[in-house]
Amino acid sequence: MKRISFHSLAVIVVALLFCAGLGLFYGRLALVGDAWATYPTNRHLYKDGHLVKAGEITDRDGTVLAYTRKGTRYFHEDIRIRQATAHTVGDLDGFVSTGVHSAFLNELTGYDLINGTYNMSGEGHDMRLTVDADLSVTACQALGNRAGTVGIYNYKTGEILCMVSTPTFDPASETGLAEEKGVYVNRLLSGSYAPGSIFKLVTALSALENLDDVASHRYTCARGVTIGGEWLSCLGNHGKVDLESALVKSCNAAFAQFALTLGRSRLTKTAEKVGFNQTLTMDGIACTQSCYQVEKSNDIDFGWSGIGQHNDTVNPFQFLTFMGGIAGGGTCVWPYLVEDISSFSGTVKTMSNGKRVSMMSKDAAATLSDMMRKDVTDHYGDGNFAGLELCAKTGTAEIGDQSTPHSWFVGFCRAPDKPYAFVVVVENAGAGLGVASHIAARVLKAAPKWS
Amino acid sequence: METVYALYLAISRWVLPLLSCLLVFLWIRYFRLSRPPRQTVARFVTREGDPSNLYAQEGLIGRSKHCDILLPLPTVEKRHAVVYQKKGNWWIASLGGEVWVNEEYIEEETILLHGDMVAIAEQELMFECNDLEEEDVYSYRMPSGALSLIVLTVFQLVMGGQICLRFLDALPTMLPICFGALVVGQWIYFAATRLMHRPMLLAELPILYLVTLGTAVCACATPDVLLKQLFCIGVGVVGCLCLAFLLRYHEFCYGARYVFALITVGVMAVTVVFGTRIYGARNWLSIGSYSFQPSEFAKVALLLVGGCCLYVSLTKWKNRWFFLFFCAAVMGTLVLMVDFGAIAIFFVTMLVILLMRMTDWRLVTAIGLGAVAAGTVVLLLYPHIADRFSVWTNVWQYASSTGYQQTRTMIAAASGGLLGVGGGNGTLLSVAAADTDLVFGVLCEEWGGIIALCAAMCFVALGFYAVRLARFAACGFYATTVCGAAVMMLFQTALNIFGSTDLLPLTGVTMMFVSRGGTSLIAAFLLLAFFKAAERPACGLETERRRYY
Ligand SMILES: [Zn+2]
Repeated sequence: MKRISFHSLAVIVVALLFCAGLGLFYGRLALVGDAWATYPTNRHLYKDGHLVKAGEITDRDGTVLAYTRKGTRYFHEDIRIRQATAHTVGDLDGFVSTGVHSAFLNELTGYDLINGTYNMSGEGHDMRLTVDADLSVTACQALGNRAGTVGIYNYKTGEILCMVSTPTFDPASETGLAEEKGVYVNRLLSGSYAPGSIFKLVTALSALENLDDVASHRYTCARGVTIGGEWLSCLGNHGKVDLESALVKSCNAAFAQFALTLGRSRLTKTAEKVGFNQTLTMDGIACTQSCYQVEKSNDIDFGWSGIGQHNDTVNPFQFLTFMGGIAGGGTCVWPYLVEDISSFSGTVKTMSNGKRVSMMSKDAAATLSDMMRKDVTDHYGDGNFAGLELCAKTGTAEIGDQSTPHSWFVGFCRAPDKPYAFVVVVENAGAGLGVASHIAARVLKAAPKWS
Repeated sequence: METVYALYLAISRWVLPLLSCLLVFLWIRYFRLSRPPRQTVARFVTREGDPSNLYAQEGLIGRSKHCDILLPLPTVEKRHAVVYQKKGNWWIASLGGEVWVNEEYIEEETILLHGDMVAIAEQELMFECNDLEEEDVYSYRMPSGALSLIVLTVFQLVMGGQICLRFLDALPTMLPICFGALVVGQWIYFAATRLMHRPMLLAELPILYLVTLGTAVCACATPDVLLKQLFCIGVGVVGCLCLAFLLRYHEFCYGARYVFALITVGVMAVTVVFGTRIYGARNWLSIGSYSFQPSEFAKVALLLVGGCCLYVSLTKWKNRWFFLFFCAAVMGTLVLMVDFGAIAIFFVTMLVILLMRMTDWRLVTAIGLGAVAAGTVVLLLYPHIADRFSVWTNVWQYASSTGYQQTRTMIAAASGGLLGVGGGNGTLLSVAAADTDLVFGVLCEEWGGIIALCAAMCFVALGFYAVRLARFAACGFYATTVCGAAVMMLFQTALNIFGSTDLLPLTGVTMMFVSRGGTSLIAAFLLLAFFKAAERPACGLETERRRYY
């Protein structure tokens, strides 16, 4: 009998294998259960493939952007608000992968491992966003029928007030549009453009942080400069310029020479510190990387890279955080979109808002800020931006072929009632000073006062 | 009324998993406290007076450490001889070693009487038997298990209440009656075991829990067949008690082994010829308006025939070959029925039964290799089985075709989370065969991952209990069959759970006691009989005394 009883351990072996299988199943349930539950055939959450069981999405003022009534999902009744917030709120079929309906599907439906899709209220969880619906409409109208993006956030708190991308669509009716125009791409988070002159801010920052006596570095511009036997052209004949006047005049020749003085590794290091070559996230949503790759480039290309040409690419959201870093005295209060998530019984999840990222020294930030201010007062004209105490930089992104270049306008306001950093990109709009700066002025003036 | 239900659901979806966890805890405690004492039914005493005790009605003599009577001498064979009870006597038979009884060399099995001198490799042992009566062996005190049963009753009432409230608008009268019948039935059973002094609920408790879940699933899915379900449970319990009674007379079973085998193979052959196909496998036999699956009963027959053929008579190869031949015949009919889930269960159980009694590892290896070869041939012959393998682990790619059932099960399981969405609120029940093959998903969705896990752990508990029973069983027949039954339950549940959740290919087998079904439910209860039979401890024998004593 001892022998039989020893051999009966085979049952234990089978039982342990069985337990291991159960462990595997429950492990998968814990890890990817959210993907299973939010599969579009799940009739707890979807009807005919459309999301129905989800909470309300409201803007910062409580304007309801999307909600469910009696098993149907509705958006705001005003088509202008629907279109302006389309990329933020997202559609119901998951075309906008960075929209709240996709990126916060678990939170919105109230799915969690313990409760599954069950909520006592029968609805999902409500989400309050930081965006301002009216401001988004203003931005959307300012962009008009041009493609581009406007991003504005409060650099003191991190709240994103405006995240508009055009061309846009109406999430309530238009889904399954042609993809080639990129209507479903949120250009702020997923866009990627050549930076043009706005990259000079990065080169300037690197010079401020790395060169001992910046003011003593003066370079000559004669409608350009020869680097490694090749000509790097400048838009003006600027003569001898130092860092400050080079930035105000946006002198290509001076910045190319600053870049060469700094060298590849120091400039790359600065670029990476402000977010280049990294995947940045906004409330957990991954943004497209900004790229600065010069290890293998020759001198002339490296010179071009220092003024935002060559192969540099910039994601608008990354530059928004960089602006926030300068405005915040070297430390960026990270932008966020979701204010809170609540069920009928109270707040269920608070986001880890207010994350701070150190980007540069306080002195460098102050100097850069003053230079950008001087840029506006001396060059762009402060009258267009009355009451904002604007610090800004334009950029014109040459896009190779004969198309009109993309236009950048980035910066922030120093006015205490409008502590906003912003980034405006308008595709094929020509020089940065013009369409992009007008859009920025219009939206910033419309932005609510902060107290 | 809706708010009452919402509130009841919000509370009960926490209460039910908590009660389930409490039940698991109570069962483990019960398991630990109810270890029976070992009682000596016979002993061999050396000249020096050292006794070697025998606690079961059979035992091995040899120098291997797994022998009951250990003789660590180089001249003793590893497994030298065997002693066992048969026909009201103790017997001894050689397993290859030389054995003398009362100074006579034995060639065949020989009766041993109290006081007989057994000589093995110059070691002289005196045989003494202990005449423990059946009443004596039941005299030890055991915890009653009443506490667990009370908690289970509360669980059933809360669960039944939730379902009744859910369907209050159009409540089938059968629904509360069936839950009531379940509760009353289990307490009558409990009272009966107390009266008959067989107070052992270790196997019944997990099964009652599973049956409760099965009733709940059936009540939510198909309330109109609830009565039939309950009737099958009743038939299953009666069948279980009858089979347990039959199994008490294992020597009778041993004698009737050819009859069992012939009937089984015969019925299976009839099914192959006249069977009808329901969900892929042609394994249904219809007599009038009543149809059943003989392959479910074949599983029970496998244990019975296996237990008999690999009976204590280790010396007889004839029986072993007969068992293998029987298994091959039944599996052959299953292949013809295209019931591959049943083949896998049959095969694994057969291997475990062989392993329990096996002396020759080479045979097990040969059978294993043969299975691999046979499996390959099967995959080549039946492309639809190969299809199941092709979708296996890629079900999401075929979510609307061949992976439909598995993906819906996983979606449902995740939707339920750990606490479930409440009975009757699930979506999986609209999928074909949800309350049989995908019942684990229904449990996860409606009653939550914790209760589903507890249901799965019930089978693990039965496995551990079977191992305990094998250790204390009266003889090898019970040890072999109870372990076979446990493996059968575990493996079938594994095929059901992991098949529907894409960890194994989907084979379409039921989860015993939970899935809706007639034959499968009754057959599952018949497996319980092997547990009840194995619970009977070893008894002694009163024999006449040898003159030397
Ligand atoms: Zn110049």
